[in-house]
Amino acid sequence: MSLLDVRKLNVIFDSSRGVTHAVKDVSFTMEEGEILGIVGESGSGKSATSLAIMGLLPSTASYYGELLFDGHDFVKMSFDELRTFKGDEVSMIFQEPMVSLNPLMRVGKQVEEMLLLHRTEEGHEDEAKMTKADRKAKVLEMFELVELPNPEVTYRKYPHELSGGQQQRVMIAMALICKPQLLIADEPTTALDADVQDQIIDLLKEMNRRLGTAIIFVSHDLSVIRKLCRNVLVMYHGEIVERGTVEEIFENPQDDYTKKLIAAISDERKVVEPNEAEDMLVVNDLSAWYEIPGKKIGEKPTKKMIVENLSFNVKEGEILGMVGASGSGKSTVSRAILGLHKWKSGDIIMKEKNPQMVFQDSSACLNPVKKIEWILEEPLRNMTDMTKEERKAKVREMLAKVELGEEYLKRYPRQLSGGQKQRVNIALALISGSKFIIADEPVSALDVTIQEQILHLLLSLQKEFHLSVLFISHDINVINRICDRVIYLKNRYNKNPRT
Amino acid sequence: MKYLKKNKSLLIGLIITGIVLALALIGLFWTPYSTTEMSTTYKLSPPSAAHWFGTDNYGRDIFSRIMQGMGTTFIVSITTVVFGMIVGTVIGMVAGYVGGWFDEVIMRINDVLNAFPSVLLALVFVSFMGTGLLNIILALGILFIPSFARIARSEMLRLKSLQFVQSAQLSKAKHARIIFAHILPNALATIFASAAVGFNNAVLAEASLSYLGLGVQPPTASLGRMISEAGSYLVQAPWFAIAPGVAIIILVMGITLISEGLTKIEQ
Amino acid sequence: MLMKYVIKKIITLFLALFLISVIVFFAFSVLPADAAVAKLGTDATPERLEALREAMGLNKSVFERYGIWLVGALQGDFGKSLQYTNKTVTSLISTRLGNSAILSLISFVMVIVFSIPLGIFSAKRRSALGRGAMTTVTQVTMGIPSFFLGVLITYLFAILLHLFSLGNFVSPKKNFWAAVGYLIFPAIAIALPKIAMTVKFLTSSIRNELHKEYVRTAYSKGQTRNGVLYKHVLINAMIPVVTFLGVIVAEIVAGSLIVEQVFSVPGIGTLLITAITNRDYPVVEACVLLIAFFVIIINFAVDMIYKAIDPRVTV
Repeated sequence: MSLLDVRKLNVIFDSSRGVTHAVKDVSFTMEEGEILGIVGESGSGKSATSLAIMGLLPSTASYYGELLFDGHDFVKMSFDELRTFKGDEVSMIFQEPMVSLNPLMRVGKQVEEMLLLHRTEEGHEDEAKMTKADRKAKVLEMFELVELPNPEVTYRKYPHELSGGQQQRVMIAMALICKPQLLIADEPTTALDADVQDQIIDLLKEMNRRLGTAIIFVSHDLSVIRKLCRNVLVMYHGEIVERGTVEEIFENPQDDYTKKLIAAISDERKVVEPNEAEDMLVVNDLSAWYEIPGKKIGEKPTKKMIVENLSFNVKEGEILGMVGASGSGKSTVSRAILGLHKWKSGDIIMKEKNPQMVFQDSSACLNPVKKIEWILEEPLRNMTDMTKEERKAKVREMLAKVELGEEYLKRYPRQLSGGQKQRVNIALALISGSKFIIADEPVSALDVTIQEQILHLLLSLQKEFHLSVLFISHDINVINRICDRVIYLKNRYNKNPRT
Repeated sequence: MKYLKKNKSLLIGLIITGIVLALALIGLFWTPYSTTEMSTTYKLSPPSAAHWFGTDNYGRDIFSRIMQGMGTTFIVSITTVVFGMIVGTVIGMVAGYVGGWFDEVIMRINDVLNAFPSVLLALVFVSFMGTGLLNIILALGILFIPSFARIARSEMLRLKSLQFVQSAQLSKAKHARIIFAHILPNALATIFASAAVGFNNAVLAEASLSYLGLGVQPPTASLGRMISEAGSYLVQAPWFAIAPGVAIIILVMGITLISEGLTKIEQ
Repeated sequence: MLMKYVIKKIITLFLALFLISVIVFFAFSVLPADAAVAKLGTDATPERLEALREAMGLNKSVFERYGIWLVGALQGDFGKSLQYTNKTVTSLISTRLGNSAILSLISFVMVIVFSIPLGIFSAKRRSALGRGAMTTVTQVTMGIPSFFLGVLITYLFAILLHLFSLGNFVSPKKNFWAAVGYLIFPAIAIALPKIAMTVKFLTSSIRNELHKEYVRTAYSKGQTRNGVLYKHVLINAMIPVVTFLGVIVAEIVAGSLIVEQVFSVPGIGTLLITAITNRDYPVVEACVLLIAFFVIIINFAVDMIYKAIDPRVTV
């Protein structure tokens, strides 16, 4: 008998916005001690599947099928029957440890709560009723196991006093303290910095080896799955489109979607032609900081340095990639170049008077209450003497360039998908005729298939208008594919960027 | 229309407020009976077909006086809220956008004013400005500035860090244009929602002032004063106090339902 | 750190009080009708008015008068009342302060005792009907002006049920429990709308918390529904409620100003209202300052409680 046998699982969300069939007839099995990866983009149904196993779907969702865990069908169980399994036999960790922990409870107590729930009643198979001292000792032992520094001190800390990586370690300690047979990890590394990501993955591997806990690892990132899992399920639009071992999937992908996923993390590099053009942008000895006002009256504000003595240049018609982890000051640099950052020193010499920016896709990159036409017209209204008719014609022309139809003119940003919004963003940056553009993580919030289209569009427009681009990203694969040169920003102080 | 059927609170709120507003507007020009003419024969007569809510201690028709009182309440509440909203929004938006010492000074003044119960402030204002329609409007209007300024400022702080504002800066929009054409429209939903709350507070504050005899002066009818006058006749004529009180509750209910319905739309 | 914070707060407190005293004092001195006219009536002879102004110190400059007043006030002497001859403001206030304090305290206790269980009860309602019913009740109650509620309570409990008789207030110094027994009725009138407001606030605060991710974590641990609510959600939901209760205290004080009038309770409210109608500005000034002082202290206390229960807030 398999540890987990999912048969024809279906999840349906019924909200005021309509009915979504998020998971369609999904079936899979996993064995004791196995590490299974589920990969897919947002909306693929991967999270809904994992939440359904734990009975944690929101009240707007309904589900049916069979979820056989060790022969017990979770779907048929009442809330209270399922409760004895949750935490004890199956447990879960989540994407954002900061908000997944109770902010007002000391982390030690939160971990101990697991034992209070599952180890204080008599008659549990493997362990006797635990006393208060037993429980605390057990928590400290777990903290030791997940390599949290100074367990006694950590025990008394509140979540906000820990780093993101430490919070996730607390979550793992909590999830594993009852020695469950299965751990479900829903994007547990996505919110963390790259080096911390690797640490957490190593920890999960270690826990799997030492405790024998089977793991379902859910992620949108195939490269993370590759590091950890043996078997993979690829989900797309609520269905499993491909399954197999990691080797099989990487070496011989069958499904189109899987192929795209793999292409996105391949080491493909752009063929760079030598560029002898003049400089579009020269940055010399740039330092940027924030001033935190003094606490007492008359006290001088303290400087928080973000970037120190940074120098680089962008040539005409060149795409320069800038890579760095979060917190390395990438966005501050771009804001300083655009004149949107107050506290800076050093020289910024630029040929273009009106540099523009393509922002990361978010709900707020385009003014939510304005129509696309109004938004695209705005730079023309402020920077040119065009008549209304000329502006409207220009807007239509630009919209066609980013491959959007005229029907989008009368729509609001919220009616557009992420990819469409990014197209509008690009149109907005180019409409005033600017030759220099900063693209700040322009595709990192998009799903793989859409990423591809936007990058393609950006490259073709860059050629057509002979643009100079500073392309900022944390994703080295993306940078390698489209940039001519790369500079790396290290954390905080950037004395010698590598190029 | 189809939408209204689903959104019951908005529908009921609109109906209630519609009826009340119609009665109040008509009451400004015409009432079934004179609101000032006294009659000794009909003193404190109970509700009847001729006098729906009975008559008061001077024999005046209570229904007619409620119509007039609601008119006064509406005028006072709407003008004060609109006044407070416009002035407060401009101050809050600019303070939040500019920041620095200007923001600091505005917000400290705001804090001091906000710390006080609004009725107390209204009492103090009225006590040195004197009673009368215009003074009441001015006193209550000034009262509403701080709360709107605070809301507008926090909306500004939330919105100004968003990317579309940077995008507006890059498209060379002037500061005033960024504040009022780009940012303000995004804050309007929140500001209007608090305007509904403000309207209800204005109704209650006006009623309280006139109950204390510090509101609109006789012979103009006002709901609060009617309740205060009726206090001495509770034994003989309970309807005299209950009718204007219920009128206030209905008025407040209507607006509350509308604001709730609007919040639903927003979501 | 904490000490510095407290000192900073106290300085702000005195600054605010000073500002208010200046505003109130100068507002009254630019009044078109001065206190002497208010006292003697508009048909008094100019000679008598002049004599009274002299006696009251009204012919000194306004700055001088403020200085004299401030020196007195710092020593607890707020001058003499204009409407009650030969009574000091301090004595007028001290005989009434206790009544108002008891009234506000009873109201506040009522708000706490009723609104917390009701808020939890209301947040637990899952059916649309249950929610609708709770919302309607709270909405209507919130919309009732407290003075009208006072009139209704008088009608119900005094006239129909004879549980108390209006105007029969006994000073708590003579008979404490009789005073409390009387003050319960105005307290209901003050507390009821505030209870509705607090229930609504707490309900939405709890519902808001229920959507947070740590709640999902708690369920994933195998916690019961009640366990999630009482061990995790409630304390998180109470944090904004603390601030809200601070506002409610200020509102209770304001409500008592008016409701005292309805129930003829000799308190600060009745004193202030008569002082305003009689332009007895020394009394108005003292009353306003007193209430301001109280409200600022409450805000300060709320801040401290906030810091005590939320570890994320640092001084």
